[in-house]
Amino acid sequence: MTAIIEASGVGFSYPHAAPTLHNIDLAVRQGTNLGIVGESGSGKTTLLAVLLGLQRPTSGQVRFSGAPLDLGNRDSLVAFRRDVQVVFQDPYSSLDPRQRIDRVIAEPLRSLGLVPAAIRSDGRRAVSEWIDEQVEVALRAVGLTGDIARRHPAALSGGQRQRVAIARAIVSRPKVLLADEPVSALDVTTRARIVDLIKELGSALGMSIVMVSHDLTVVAALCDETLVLRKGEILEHGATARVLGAPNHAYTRRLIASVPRLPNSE
Amino acid sequence: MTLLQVDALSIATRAGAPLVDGLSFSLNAGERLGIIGESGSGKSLTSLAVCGLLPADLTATGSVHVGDLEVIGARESELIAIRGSRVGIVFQEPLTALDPLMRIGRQLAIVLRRFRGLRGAAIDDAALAALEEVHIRAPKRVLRAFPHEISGGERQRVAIALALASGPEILIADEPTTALDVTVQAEVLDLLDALVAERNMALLFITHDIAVVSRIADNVIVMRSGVEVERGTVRGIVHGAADAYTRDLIASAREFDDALAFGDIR
Amino acid sequence: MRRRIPHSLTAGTILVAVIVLLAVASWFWLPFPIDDMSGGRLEAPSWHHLFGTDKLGRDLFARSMIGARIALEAGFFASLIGGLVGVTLGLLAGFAQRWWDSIAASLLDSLIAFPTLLVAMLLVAAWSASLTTAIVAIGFAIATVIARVTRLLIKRVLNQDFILASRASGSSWPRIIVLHVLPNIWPTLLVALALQFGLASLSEASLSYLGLGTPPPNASWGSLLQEAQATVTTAPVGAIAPGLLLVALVVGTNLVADGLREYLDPTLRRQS
Repeated sequence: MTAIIEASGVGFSYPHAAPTLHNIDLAVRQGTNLGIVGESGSGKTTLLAVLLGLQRPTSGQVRFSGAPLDLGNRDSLVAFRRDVQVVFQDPYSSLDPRQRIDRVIAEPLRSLGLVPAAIRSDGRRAVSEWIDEQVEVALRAVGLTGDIARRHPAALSGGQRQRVAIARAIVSRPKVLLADEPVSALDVTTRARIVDLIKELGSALGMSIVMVSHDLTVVAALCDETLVLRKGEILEHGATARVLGAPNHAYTRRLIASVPRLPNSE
Repeated sequence: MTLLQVDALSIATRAGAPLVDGLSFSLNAGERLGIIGESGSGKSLTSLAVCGLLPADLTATGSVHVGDLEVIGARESELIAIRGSRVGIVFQEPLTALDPLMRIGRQLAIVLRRFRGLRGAAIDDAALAALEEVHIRAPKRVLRAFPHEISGGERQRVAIALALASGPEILIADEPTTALDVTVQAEVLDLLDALVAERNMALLFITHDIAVVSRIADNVIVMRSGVEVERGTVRGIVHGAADAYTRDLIASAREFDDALAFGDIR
Repeated sequence: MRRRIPHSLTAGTILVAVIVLLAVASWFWLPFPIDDMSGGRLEAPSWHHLFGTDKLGRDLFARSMIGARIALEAGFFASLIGGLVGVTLGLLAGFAQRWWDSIAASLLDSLIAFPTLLVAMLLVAAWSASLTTAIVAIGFAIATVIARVTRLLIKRVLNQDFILASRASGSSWPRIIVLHVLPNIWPTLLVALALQFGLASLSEASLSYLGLGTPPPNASWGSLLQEAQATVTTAPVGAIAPGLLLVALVVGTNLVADGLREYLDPTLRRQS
């Protein structure tokens, strides 16, 4: 089965600096959730940017649906962005404070040309209505009610904002959802609910989730496959149960041992 | 004599909206109390109230006794007398807790000069010793550095060193590890544990993470919307919480904790 | 969600409105033609001559009204030029990357260092003293300040995740600028321009005072002040009137700028 996104030998360095990423090989396949575990300085943010096409690798190649990723061409850029979407870490800066929620979610619908030709030929009113419908469907899918649509981000809590960010990301029915520490900034109960939401949406919409996080518990709760990143290199890669259950590397063992655990009942 | 005695502490805005309502607890030397709550629970305000550091537009009623001083309503000069020498505080975000324009060595020197009456070369030695006590590798480099030139973990260790340099009997730690990577978090928690035990200090540890608090405190108070909903030993709460909200918190934490149960890595 | 209007905005608007009224009225009606020297010299204020007369017998009130018009013209056009040129330069500098960015930053900083006065003198030497010359010189000064502010605002906005999110949504850069960048910078820019407006009028008055702005017989407040200098002890109204009017305009625009900032500040909306 062809991977949806594939990175081979990907490396990245800023000019005159040590490499941020070195020799990264990974594949995002349909039906598999991938976790990328890394602490600060591991290069995970850069890796995410490269996988999203927001940053060009200085070496190696990123492939989308088998072909090299070419974002110079408007058509291939749109095709890529429809299929690969993202949710960012900070719910307070990932939504434009001056944009209404419905416009936030509607933006990809317009920019990615998702309005069906039949609706477009019916005129602007029809397009508007169609978009409003899609926005409402997306809001409901993430557990929010329609009246949120008219409000601004400042009126929402962190958890609600993340839901809006997720709604924006799924509106194009992407094949891959990249999530950068999507729950780190949230309270523990909200965290659980959002992780559950992402999981449900993943299976309901047939999306593969790629979750970048330093929080092992979140990765373990969501991902089938895990990759451990350290100083720009892949240290371990395999099924989550194997990597976190029987790690090969001392660093991975240290990561796992560092996670604060609930006291066990005795 | 009880080091810290809080009775019916209530904090309200000028308009009368209650942010904390009727909180009571006490701390003796060597005791460790955790306050768990999500955002908006009023937990951070409690720690500020103990030091008399509430923002001017909030009013506190009730009683907070640090030793024999009644903090609520005390004059600034009386509060200055207890800040540092009796109560030390470590905040969540080390980047803002340290003066960005002052070298670390100088920030330490200020505290050492004031609280230990040291001068000249004695300060340099004491500063070095303070950094070594918090396990900073290459303390000489750190003394000369500015806060942004050292890592997040190092900054937090410096913040702890600063808090302890004045020799307080009570240490308040407000989400001290939330902003840190998981391996660094574990090290800083171990450090706090050791230092507090060594000096037989009273510890008030504030967090939203139950697993973290179970690592470092014996007893815990759960807060929600400014009110205490339950209190007890950490084990007691984790294994048999009475209140529904507490159970919800524990359940969410458990969801993630269980996700890591792959084998015997514990 | 309309919020209550800050007091500073109301007060400032009233002050500025008074000056605007004087200026607008001057188009339709003047108590005396400004070069009419029929009044006695240095007469005290009376019902006939509300502000009295100057040393040549001209009615001061009429000249003050013209002065209001000149001050507002200078403020408006200099701000307009400065705003348009400044925002354009600022946009270019804001989007510049790597070494273009360093060049842009250094260039803007060195341009700001040019004193308005020096530029005005150079232009007067090249063309001649006139309101237009003054406006161009002041416009240049404003442009450099606005460019710098714009560049910083853009850099700050571009750093936010919602710009990345917009790119990930497939929006093109022109779209991102219209949808996200401009809406997030215009409030602060508006406040900066309101501030510059008052400063521009003040600069024009300074230039006219030095003889580098509107030449006689035109009645800029600066010229009025210069003419009243010699007789300030014997006929103080000649200096007090234009002086107070100038103060009223500058304080008014400052209050408007302050009030706008308060009214438009998005961080004050975050009351949840």
